[in-house]
Amino acid sequence: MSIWTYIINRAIRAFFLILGIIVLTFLLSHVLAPNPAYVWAGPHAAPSVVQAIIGEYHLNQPLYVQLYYYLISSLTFNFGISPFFKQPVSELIATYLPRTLQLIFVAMILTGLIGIFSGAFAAEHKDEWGDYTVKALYLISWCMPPFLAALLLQLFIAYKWGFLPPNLMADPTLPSPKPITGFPIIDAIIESNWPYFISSLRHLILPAFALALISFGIITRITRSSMLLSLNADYIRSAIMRGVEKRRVIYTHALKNSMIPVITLLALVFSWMISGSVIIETIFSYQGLGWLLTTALYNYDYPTVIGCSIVIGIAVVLANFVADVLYAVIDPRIKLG
Amino acid sequence: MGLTLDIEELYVTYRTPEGNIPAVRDVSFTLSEGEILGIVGESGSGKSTLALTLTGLLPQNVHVHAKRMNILGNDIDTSNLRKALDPLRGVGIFMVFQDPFASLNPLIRIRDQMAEAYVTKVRQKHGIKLGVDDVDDEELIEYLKRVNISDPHISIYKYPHQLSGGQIQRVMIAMALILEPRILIADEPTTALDVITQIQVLHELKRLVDEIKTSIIFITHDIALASVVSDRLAVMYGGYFMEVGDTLNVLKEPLHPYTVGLISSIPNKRKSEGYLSEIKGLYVPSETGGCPFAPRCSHAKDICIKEIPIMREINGRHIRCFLYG
Amino acid sequence: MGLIVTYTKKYRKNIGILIKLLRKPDVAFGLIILILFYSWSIIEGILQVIGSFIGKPDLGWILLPYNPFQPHLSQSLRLPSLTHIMGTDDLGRDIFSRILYAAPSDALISLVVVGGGILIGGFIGLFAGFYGGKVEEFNMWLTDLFLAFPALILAMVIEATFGHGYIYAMIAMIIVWWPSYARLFRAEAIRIKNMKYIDAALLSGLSKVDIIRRHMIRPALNTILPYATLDLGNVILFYSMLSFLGLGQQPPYPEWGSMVALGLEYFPKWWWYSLMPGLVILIIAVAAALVGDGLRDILGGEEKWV
Repeated sequence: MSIWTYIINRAIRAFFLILGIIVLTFLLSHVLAPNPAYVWAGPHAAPSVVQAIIGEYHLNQPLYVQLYYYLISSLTFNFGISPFFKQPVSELIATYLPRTLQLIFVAMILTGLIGIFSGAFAAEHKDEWGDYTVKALYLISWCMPPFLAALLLQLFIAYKWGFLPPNLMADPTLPSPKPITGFPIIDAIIESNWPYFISSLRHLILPAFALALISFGIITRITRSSMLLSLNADYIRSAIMRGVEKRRVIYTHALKNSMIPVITLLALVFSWMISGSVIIETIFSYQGLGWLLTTALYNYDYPTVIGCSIVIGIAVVLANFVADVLYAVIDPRIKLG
Repeated sequence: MGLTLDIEELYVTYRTPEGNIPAVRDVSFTLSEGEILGIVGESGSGKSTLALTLTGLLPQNVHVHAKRMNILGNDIDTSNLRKALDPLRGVGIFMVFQDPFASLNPLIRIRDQMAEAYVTKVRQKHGIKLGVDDVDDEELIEYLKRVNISDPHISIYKYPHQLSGGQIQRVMIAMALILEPRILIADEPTTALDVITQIQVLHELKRLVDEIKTSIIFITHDIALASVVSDRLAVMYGGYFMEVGDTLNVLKEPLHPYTVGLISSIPNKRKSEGYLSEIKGLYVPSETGGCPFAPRCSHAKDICIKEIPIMREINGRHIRCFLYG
Repeated sequence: MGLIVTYTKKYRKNIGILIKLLRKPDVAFGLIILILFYSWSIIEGILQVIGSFIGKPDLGWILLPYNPFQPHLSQSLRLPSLTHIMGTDDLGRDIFSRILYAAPSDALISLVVVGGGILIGGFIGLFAGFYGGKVEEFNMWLTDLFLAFPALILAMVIEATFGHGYIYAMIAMIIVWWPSYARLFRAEAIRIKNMKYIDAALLSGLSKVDIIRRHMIRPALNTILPYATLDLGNVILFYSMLSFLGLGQQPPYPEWGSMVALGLEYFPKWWWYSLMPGLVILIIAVAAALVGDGLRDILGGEEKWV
C-alpha cells in the first residue's frame, strides 16, 4: 500500500473526528445542558438578551435543526459574538491562538531536545549515576503541577536573579507590530521591529521553559526505554560488526529507531501543553488562548468557551494527523490501522 | 597456512541474580586461514555465546576468561572484550546473524547500510575517512551482483523489510565481500530460510573462502548442514567441545556417544531400518560437575557423573569422553 | 491503595508483593508517603463527615494544629517556622492545617476518578479489543474523540455548562479519564485474546462474555494496576489544576490548587503561600509514580503509555 493511501485514510479519519468534536460540544451545550438559553446567554443575562439568544441559536426549534445550524456555523468558524468581549469569537481566537501556538512551538522544541537527549544519555549510561539522575528529573517533570513549575521559574530566574521578565508578552511601553500573520514574533520580524522582537522573545522564554519542564519527562522516559530496546537489537550488533563508528551507531541507528514511539507521543505532548498553557499563561499574564479561555470562563462568556474548545480540539486532531504522517515518513513499514 | 584464531581454555559465565551460569567451558581450538570450522550443538549448548564472545558483543553481565585468546595475531584482553575487539570488527571479524529480518536496521536503506561497510573498509585498510553518502552506488551494486541478487539496481534502494530472508543473507554476504574479513562468523545463517535458498546461501558462503580466503566459523544445530560446508567439525554440548576433528573422519567414524547419536539421527535413504534413532531425553544443565551428557548417555559410568573428562587426542581427533581413556 | 489491598487479599501468592516493594528504597519511600496520605485522609474525612452530621464542624480540625478557617490577622503571612511549619496565609491561617484539612477531598477524588475510569474504560476497552470489527471501530473512534480534547479543556467546558464545584469536577474528570483506560484495556484484551488459553476456553464452549469475565480481567489487571497506582497521582495533579482555576471545591473550603491561586496575589514576596501546597502535590504525585513503577517491575506488566 502506498503512503498516500495511508495519508488519505488518516485525513478522512481526522475529518470525522473533527465532526465528532463539534457534535460532542453540541450535545453538551444544546442537549445535556439543563437550560441551554441561560448557558449561552450567561446566568445573569436580561430576559431580552435570553430571547435574542433563543432566536440566534434556534433553540426553540427541533434538535436536528439546531444541530444543522450549529454544524454549519462551527465548520465556518462562526462562533457568534462574545457577550463579554463584545467581539466575534472567531476574531478573538484569531488574535489569541497564534500567541499560544508560538509559545507551544518553542516549548515543543525545548521539550524534544531535552527529552530526547536526556533519554539517550540515560540509555547510554544505564544503571549508572547518570541514569538515576535523569530518572529523578523525569519523575519530577512528570509529576510537576504546571503552576509550581511556572512559579519556581518566576521566583528564581525572574525575581531573584532578574535574568528574564516575570510576566506579560512583551514590554508594554514598546509599540506592538501590526498583526499580519498574527504571530507577534513573526510580525515583529516582518516589520523589522527589533526591540519588540527581542522583548517578546525574552518574555517567551520563561513560559516556554515552564511548559517544557512539565512535558519533557514522558519523552525522556520513552526515548530511554526504546533506546535500550534498540541497543540490544541484532541490527545494532550487525552495525557494530561492520565497523560503524559508535557515534553513528547510537545517534543514527539506535536513535532513529527510538524516534518512532516518540513521534506518536508528540500529539499527546501537544495536547498536554495546551492544558498546561491555560495555567501557565494565567501565571505569566501571557495573553494567549489559555488566558482568553479562563477569562471567558470567569465571565460566563459561553460562546467564547465553546469556540476556543472546538478550535483546540481541531488543533489536537491536526497534531495527531501530523504525527501519523511523520510516523509513516520515518518508518517505511507503514501499517494501516 | 597462518592461524587466524588461537583459543585456549575459554570460559564464559553469565552472572545472574540467581547465580552464575556457565555457558562456555574449557573450550580450546584454532582456526587456519581459509578454513571452515563447523560448530554443531543444540540450543543451550553455548554455541551462540561462543560466537558472540568472538565478536565481543556479549551483554554486560558476562564474565569471560581464557588462558590464551589470540585473534589475528593480537592477544586479546578478556576483561574488556568489547573494547579490545573494537579495532578488529569489520575487516578483521564479521558476523552474519541467524534472523535475517532482525539483522539490518529496518529504517535505513540497504544502500546506506552497505555503504557503511564500505566506509569501514576504507577507514580500516587505508586510513581514509569517508561519509556514507560519498560511496559510489555502482560499486555497491557490483557487490550485489556477485552474490546473485535479482535486480540489484532496484534492490539496493529498498528497505530491509522489502527483501526476502534469503536476499538479506545475500546482502550480508555482499557486505562480507566488501569488508573481506579475515574471520567470518555465521550463526545459523540459513536456519530461517527454506531448503533451496539454504543451499544457495551456503554456496555463496563457500565462494567467500575461495575468493577472499576468509576463515569461517559456521554455527548450526544441523550436523548434516555443517558437514556439507565445513572442513572441520566441533561438536558442542553443555558448554564443552565434545569432539573436534576433520569433517569426513567425524562423519565416517564418530567417537563420542553424543556425536554418534547426532549422526545416526540424520535421515538416510540408504539405511534400511524404518525408524530414525534419536538421543533420549532433553538437555538439562548439570549441577554435579560431571559430564553434561552423562544423564542421556547410554555408556555412562559412575565416574561420568562425578568428573568431567579431559580433552584427549586420538588419531588427530580430540575427544572428551571416559570411553577413550 | 484500596486496589492494592484487595489485590493482595485476592492472590495469596502475591502477598510477597508488599515486602518486595519495600525492599527498594525509592519505592518504599513512595509507599510510605501514599499510605500516610490515604490513611490520614480516611481519618480526617471521617471526622469531617461526622462533624458536619452532628452539627459540630470543629470535629473536623480536632487533630489539626490550628483551626483552618479561623483568621488571625496578627499572624498573617508568617514565614514557615516551628510554630507554623508551612507558614501562614494572608488571613493568618496555618497553611499546613489547611493542607491537611483539604487532603480527604483529594484522596476521594483520586480513588473515584481512577475507579470510574477503570470501570467505564474497562468495559468499553475489553469489548472493543475482544470483539474487534465494528464494535472496536466505534469504541475506538469514541475514545479518540474524547482524547482529542485536552483533558483540562474538556473539563472546563463541562463545568462551564453544568456549574462549578467538587461534584462537577469529579464528573468532568471521570468523563475525561475513561478514554485512557479504554485504550489500555483494549490493548490488553488484544494481547490476551491471542493467547492459546483463550482459544482453549472458546473451544470448550465458554461464551465470550464469560471469557472476558473469567480469563481476561485478571491478567489485564497486571498491566492496569501499576498504571492505576501511578494514575492516582495524575488525578490529584489534574484536580489541583481545576481547583487552581476555581473549578473545584468552592471557598471557604481549602483546596490545594485554589490555595496556590489565592497565594498568587502575594507572590513572590510571600512565596510560601503558593509554593507549599504546590510542593505537597508534587510529593504525592512522585510517590504515586514511584509505587506504580515499583509495582510494574514486580508484576511484570508491560510499559504502556496513553
